[in-house]
Amino acid sequence: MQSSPRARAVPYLLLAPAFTAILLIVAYPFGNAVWLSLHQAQLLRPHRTAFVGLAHFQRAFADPVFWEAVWNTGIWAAGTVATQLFIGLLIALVLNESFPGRGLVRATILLPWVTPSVVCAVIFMWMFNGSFGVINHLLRGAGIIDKPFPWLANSTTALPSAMTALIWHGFPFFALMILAALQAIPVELYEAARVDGAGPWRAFCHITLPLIMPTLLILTLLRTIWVSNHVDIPFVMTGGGPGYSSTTLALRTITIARVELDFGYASALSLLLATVLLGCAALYFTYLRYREQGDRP
Amino acid sequence: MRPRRRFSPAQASVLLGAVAILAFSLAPYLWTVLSSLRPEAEIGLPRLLPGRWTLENYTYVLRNTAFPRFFLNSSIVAATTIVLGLALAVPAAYAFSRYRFKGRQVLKFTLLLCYVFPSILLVTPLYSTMHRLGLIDTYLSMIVAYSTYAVPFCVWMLLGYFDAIPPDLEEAAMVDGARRFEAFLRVILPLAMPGVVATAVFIFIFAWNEYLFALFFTTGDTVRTLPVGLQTFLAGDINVKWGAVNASAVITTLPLALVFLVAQRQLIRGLTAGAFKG
Repeated sequence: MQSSPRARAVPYLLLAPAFTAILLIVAYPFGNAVWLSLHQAQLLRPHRTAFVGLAHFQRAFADPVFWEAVWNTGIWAAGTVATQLFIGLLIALVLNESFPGRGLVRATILLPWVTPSVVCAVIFMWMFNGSFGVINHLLRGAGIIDKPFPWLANSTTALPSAMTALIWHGFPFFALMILAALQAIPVELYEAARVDGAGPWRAFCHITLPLIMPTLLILTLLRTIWVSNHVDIPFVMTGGGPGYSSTTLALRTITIARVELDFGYASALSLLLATVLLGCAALYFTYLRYREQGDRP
Repeated sequence: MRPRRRFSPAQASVLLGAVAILAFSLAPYLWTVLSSLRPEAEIGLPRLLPGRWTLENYTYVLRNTAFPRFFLNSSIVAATTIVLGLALAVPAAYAFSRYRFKGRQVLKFTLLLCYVFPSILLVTPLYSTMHRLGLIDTYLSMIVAYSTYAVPFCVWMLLGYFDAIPPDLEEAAMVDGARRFEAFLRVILPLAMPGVVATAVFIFIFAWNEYLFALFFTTGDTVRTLPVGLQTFLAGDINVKWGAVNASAVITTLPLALVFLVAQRQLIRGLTAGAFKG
């Protein structure tokens, strides 16, 4: 095609709106977050913005609440992603079989995924309600407990209860992605395995699992970032309590920014979390590049 | 005649699994719907079906709370975000699909980076900026933020659809004397329409559901969207009217359930296509 300077400018003009928006709404705030993390910046004292160096980071490392939040973030992310991966794999394996109504089931599992996170939080708050939640009703009916248990007000069960809501919200993504990977496996491989006398379990371990491993890996990395970032559900369900027992690092950031209006410290906390998550992102990119090279013989 | 063959154990376990999946996906939702249809006096009772079916929770929410306002606000924000989001993403995706230019790979990588960028990092500084610009409690604050955050995912999704259309088609139109823009409007856009619709659906779901930025950007009921409004009903823990809260949760999800019924095929396709597999 013609390559006059005007023609060469066309793709850049087409990209300009999108990248201008990204510059203003992603890049600038990111730079601002780094700046804020090194300054004293409180909404109610706008005139007192002094450079404080790494004081916010020192404050974080000396704060037991920070370390509790780090620990909770680990449990929150690992527990949620691992459970979603497991449930998603089971569901995908069932949906990969043919049975009457398969399309309907495949469509139905999308419902939790399109449900707003706050609605998920409300649904599970209601189910876990300490006085008349349905879970207490069921457990009492089964004779497992003899009086209602305050799931969200107990420091051992608050975090797992919030995790349950998030697991329900996010499992369809895992199930459908793994299903797509399963459907890409050639049927001949399984036929060959059967001819060789391999049972279903061996076929799963030697054919299915290795072939869907790339998808499982990508899902784990992407969803770890997403889940660690997520604050809606614990914010609404437990507010991080009781005490700090369900406070994740992301939730702590939000509380500091919203309640204490301390933007400097909040930015420092979110930078610490982001550093770890960008580590996950780097792994993801390395993997993509490695696979791209593998694809080209 | 032989009797009809019974299900084999393997088939039976698959069917059992399918039933379990349906129960797991639907039961929490069904419980909320059932709870919203019983009178407030019945709300704590351990029984599956309401003793008396009623819509009074719904009429209460629609008449006595700011919920209709939240619904309107969410509709305005979601509709505008779809338009602005597509206006940003469609030209960008077309450029990536049809042009080879310097910096193409770098810009594509930037988009991917934005997709995995931890949004928690942006809430505080963006709130502080919106505050400085006097944009707190405006639709604009949410619309601008949502359309930008939707861009990376949407460009990636649209790119798949544009790439599937052979470039010969618009070149043929251009040989016939059409300018590139006309060729795009008359040839490419109609062919890519399923992709554009699917992308619009994703933007709608994202904008309708977003909570965290809306929480920071709104202080009163005037522009507050549904998720934040729903959460304010829970404030003051002791006297939560659970019937009303459940009814609000159902109303909030209703438009999504409709979209999901109409567009589930595109949703599944978009979900698996847009997952950045490199």
